[in-house]
Amino acid sequence: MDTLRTFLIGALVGAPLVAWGLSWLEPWLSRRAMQTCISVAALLSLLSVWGLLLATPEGQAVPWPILSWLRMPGFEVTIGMWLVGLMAMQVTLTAIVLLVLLSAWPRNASFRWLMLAWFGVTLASVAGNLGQLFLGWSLSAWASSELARQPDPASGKSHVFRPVWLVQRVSEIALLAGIGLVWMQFDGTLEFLAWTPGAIGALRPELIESIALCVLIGVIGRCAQLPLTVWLETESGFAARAGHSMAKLSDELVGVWNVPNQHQVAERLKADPRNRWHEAAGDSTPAAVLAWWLSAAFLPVGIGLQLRFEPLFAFAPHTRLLMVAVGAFTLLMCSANAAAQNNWPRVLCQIAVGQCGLVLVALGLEQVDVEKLTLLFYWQSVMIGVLLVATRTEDSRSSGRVRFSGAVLLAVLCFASGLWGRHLVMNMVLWQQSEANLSRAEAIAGESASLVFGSTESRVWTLVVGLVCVAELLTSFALLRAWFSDRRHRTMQKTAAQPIAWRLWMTVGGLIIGGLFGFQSSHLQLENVSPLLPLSAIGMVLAWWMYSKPSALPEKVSAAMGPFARLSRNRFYWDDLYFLLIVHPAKVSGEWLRWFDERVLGSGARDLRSRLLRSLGESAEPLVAGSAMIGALTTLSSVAVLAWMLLWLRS
Amino acid sequence: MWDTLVRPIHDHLPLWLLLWPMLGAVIVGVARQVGAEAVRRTMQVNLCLSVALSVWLVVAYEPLKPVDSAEQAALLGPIERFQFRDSFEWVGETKTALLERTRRNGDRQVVEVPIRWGPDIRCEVGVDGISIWFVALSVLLVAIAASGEWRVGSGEPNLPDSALRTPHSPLPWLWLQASLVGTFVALDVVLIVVCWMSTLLAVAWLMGQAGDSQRHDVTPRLLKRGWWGGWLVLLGLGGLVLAFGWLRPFPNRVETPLVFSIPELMAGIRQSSMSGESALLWASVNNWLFWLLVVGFTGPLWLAPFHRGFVEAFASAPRGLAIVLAGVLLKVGVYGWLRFILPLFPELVRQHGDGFTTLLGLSSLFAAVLAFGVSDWRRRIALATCSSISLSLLGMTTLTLEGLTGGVLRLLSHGLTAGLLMWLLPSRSGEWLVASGEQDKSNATPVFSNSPLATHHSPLISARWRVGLMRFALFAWIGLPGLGGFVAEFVTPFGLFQHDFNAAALSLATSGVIAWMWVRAERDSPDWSHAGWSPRDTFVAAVLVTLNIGLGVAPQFVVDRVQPSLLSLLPMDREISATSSGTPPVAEVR
Repeated sequence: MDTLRTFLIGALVGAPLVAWGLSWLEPWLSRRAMQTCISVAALLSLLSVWGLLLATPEGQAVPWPILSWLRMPGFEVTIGMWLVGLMAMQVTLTAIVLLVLLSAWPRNASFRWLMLAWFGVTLASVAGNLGQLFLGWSLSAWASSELARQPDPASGKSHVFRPVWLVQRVSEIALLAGIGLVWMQFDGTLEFLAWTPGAIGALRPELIESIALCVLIGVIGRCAQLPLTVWLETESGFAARAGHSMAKLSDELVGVWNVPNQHQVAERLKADPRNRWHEAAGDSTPAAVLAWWLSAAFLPVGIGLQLRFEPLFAFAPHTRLLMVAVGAFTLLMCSANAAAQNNWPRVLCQIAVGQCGLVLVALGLEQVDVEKLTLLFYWQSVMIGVLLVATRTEDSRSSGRVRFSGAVLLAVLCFASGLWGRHLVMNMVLWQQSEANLSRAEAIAGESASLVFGSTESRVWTLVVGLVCVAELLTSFALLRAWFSDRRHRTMQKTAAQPIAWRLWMTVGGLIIGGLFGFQSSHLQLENVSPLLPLSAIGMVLAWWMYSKPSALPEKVSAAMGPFARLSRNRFYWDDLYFLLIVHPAKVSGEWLRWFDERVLGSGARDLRSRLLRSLGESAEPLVAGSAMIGALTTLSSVAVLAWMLLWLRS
Repeated sequence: MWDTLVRPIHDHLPLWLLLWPMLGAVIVGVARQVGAEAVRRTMQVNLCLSVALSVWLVVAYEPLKPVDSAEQAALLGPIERFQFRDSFEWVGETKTALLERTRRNGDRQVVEVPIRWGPDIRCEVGVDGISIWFVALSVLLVAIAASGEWRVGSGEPNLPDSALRTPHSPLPWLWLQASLVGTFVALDVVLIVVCWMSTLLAVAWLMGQAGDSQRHDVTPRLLKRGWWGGWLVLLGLGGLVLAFGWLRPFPNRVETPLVFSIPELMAGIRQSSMSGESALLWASVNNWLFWLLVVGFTGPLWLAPFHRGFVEAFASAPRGLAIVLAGVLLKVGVYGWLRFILPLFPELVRQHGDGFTTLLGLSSLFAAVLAFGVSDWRRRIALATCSSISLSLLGMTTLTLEGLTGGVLRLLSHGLTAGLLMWLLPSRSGEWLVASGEQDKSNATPVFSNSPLATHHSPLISARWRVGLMRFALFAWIGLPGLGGFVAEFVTPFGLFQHDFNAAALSLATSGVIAWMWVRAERDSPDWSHAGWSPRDTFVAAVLVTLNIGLGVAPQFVVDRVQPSLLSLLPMDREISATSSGTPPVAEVR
């Protein structure tokens, strides 16, 4: 059994590594051969994780130490595995996402970084301790960020790369601080086994809150939650991209396809080379890379980390409250942003991140079935990955519209009707929590004037309910709006028929949706979902009214919304702040110090020394004639002083 | 077979490593009469054999080998720290004299008595768990540097005779190798200083024959600091020898013999200075000797803000010499701290510990910020090297096992990483130019532009390889998990936090600035449009990358060997606290 287990662990961790090694042979192998090799590796990974799960006792996390990496007096760092059901599911879905996006992988992008990122995700998922988890975390973030450079390897520049890279480093630093605190407080160990309720309860509350806060910042960065949403690509681009101004932002809400030809807005947008609709614009991240980020490397891994730290978060009510607030506002903001995007991948990105915020809200509340919740989120991530992959066009540099209307329609229906899991999560957040609160309130009635439940005060919960409802309306609106825009665009462009491969992938997507139908039929309570359906319906009707026919209505709405419309463009100037507050001062101080080093320490000291020597030489000029004698006397006196010093020391 | 062929080499590996380059110099001298190709082949064989011997040394070293006799155990401890020892008389000799003795009954008897003539300065070599890594790093980097520096006309078929002619003499490389190895394997006070000074002469020779146009200005400054340091160290070590002579009780002799052997000196002083009159005597002289050694060993480290001479020399040096300068030569001072200052003056190091750590932390941060402000790759590497060495020393001055281990690991990983980075940079002084006797780049012709020499790939592919490898090296320097730099970055803070929070904060800030600097520097890659990519480049890069990954993935191999020796450097109380809480092997033995 041990041999089999060792083999399975080796296969699970080794499959991505072997695939990464093979990816170096990419120049010499055909693309199909590479895809086949990676597919085999992914299948091997799938088989091994399920084999390991079969060897694991039901519902228990089993630590398997493998080897000792570093042994010092005082501490020892071991490398091992910690497999639990949800993490196995994460590994499984990562492999599925990989299989899905293989055929859609851009031709100009190497598989190398993708394989390295896959290894990082696997490592983070099955990590036996926090050190390994951090290693996998940073490796997957780094390699996944590098994928953003792939579209233009010649210039090595990407407008997306910088924000992604920056936010991931912020996330890593925060997580590292949290891990450092854990190390110091848990007797120098990074093992998960040390987190017993007794050990956690013995810590000071503010210390637990600090650890949880650090971890939460890490999750926020990884999952693009507020305020670290900057790596999401939006219509307005980033600060690094020159030429954008606030005045133009609201134009894009209108969309060039939504106004009659010869309309001044359409002409202006078409004439602007920096505009997304301009033919020359084409530096967006490929949809397959976005699928990898959102469905495998970033959002699921962030939620996975949150689950790993669940025992600590249970003792950190204030941080949980913060998590609820962050998740709820991110949900609202992303839903609003989704309603302003003119590109299917971006709409899907915003919705995926918004759903991640919803999961954080749910995790922040008590009385939630964490396993079911996370499972739903993982499947939703896979679904978004499938849809993103389906948005691939022949030329990945163009706008990236979904080319399979049936799949789009199906996805829209799933989103809108709530049969896709979203409403189930909302159900957990809203109604189950409400029931728990009320029952608890009854129990403590008379003792407290305000309704207090779990970690969250009633006012915040009310706010959460409001935000979730608004978000639901906006999401339905955004999806139908995007669908209208896509249909109109295809009508204008007369898009060619679909290649047969897409039908295959859509079949996969259909199967996943079918699985979800089956899964949810046993869990879904329609009477709890129904209150949200009218909101979805209102959003869809609104979208139909505004966007089913070309009109100036969106422009008027945009103008009426004013700053809110601009805010929905997700332009937060984080890049500018980073440059102004950190990069620029560091560059200036570095240059100033270099000047100080060269002028003051270098030239100044040299001048001073030469001046002193010159003075000395001038004053000793009369003695020049007898310089040999002076040299001899100096040497002798030095020897005498040395001898005297030694004798003196001895005495 | 073992006794006749292998054992004579195995038991004297440091001696072989010291003598082999000298023997190689003779063979190369003979081969020069045959032709350039013979010289090249001879150098290759010589360097490869040296590397093989150093690998053998590392593998054969037994970190927990018990001492042979109880007498040695009482003097030097239960573990045989210095192994593969050889000792030959060098200055002075032991002779037998005939003495006439008169008995009580009036009879006269002539007896033979051994008498020491002159000082007991010996050619004594041996290694411990610290020096084996310095030896291995020296041999490896000198081999890499020499193969890269001295490679024009590497057997390519379509080259004119002028290109096949070797541009420079290979002898200084062999000299440098022997001197460096001698510095690290020397177990005699005089031998170590002589070898150290000798490295400076070899550096001067190499700078003179292949440096750029600034070499006449920068070489004297580089040498001057080294020589000053060397003389101060010699003075300090001489004082140490004298002091030990005074400390050591010899009831039957009026004049005690002077001991120059480093192991005996260290063990003796540590024991003699513990209590009694000797302790008082030691207390009166140790301050002087301490500061002499501190200034002597720290001066040639070129720590910021006294770094300018090194940075200029590094920028002017040929690529190969720059690899050795940053990778090994600069670290001789740190080795001196490990060999003499920390074991002999632990109380003084502890007394001035806060000052040392603060100054070193500020120095490292200053160098890192300066590196942030420069745009030249060589100067960046030089300043980052100054910063890295400050950090190594910072860890060591905490006098904790974690700090010491982290410091040694940082030196090792830095040597590998800096070597790889320097190897990848475009050459500045014409190594890849046709050797027409003209070192000026503007007048020389890039080799690959008119012949297939040194490149089997197009410049585009070459640049891609270099970009990828450079990124690897930068991440290794920053401390990406799984690579060499990570282990040091991981281990050192434990020692720093035990010692002083401010020092730890300075160290972490420096690491952050360096990481940030490299990430920004990575954006403006050097101009590789004239650089090719040869199989030799592949081989060297593969070796350095493999070692870097090996150090990151399996650091225990290094830690197991270095830790017992580092434990013996700690003061008694810390030694006990370090071993009592820790791992079985070391704790059991101690």
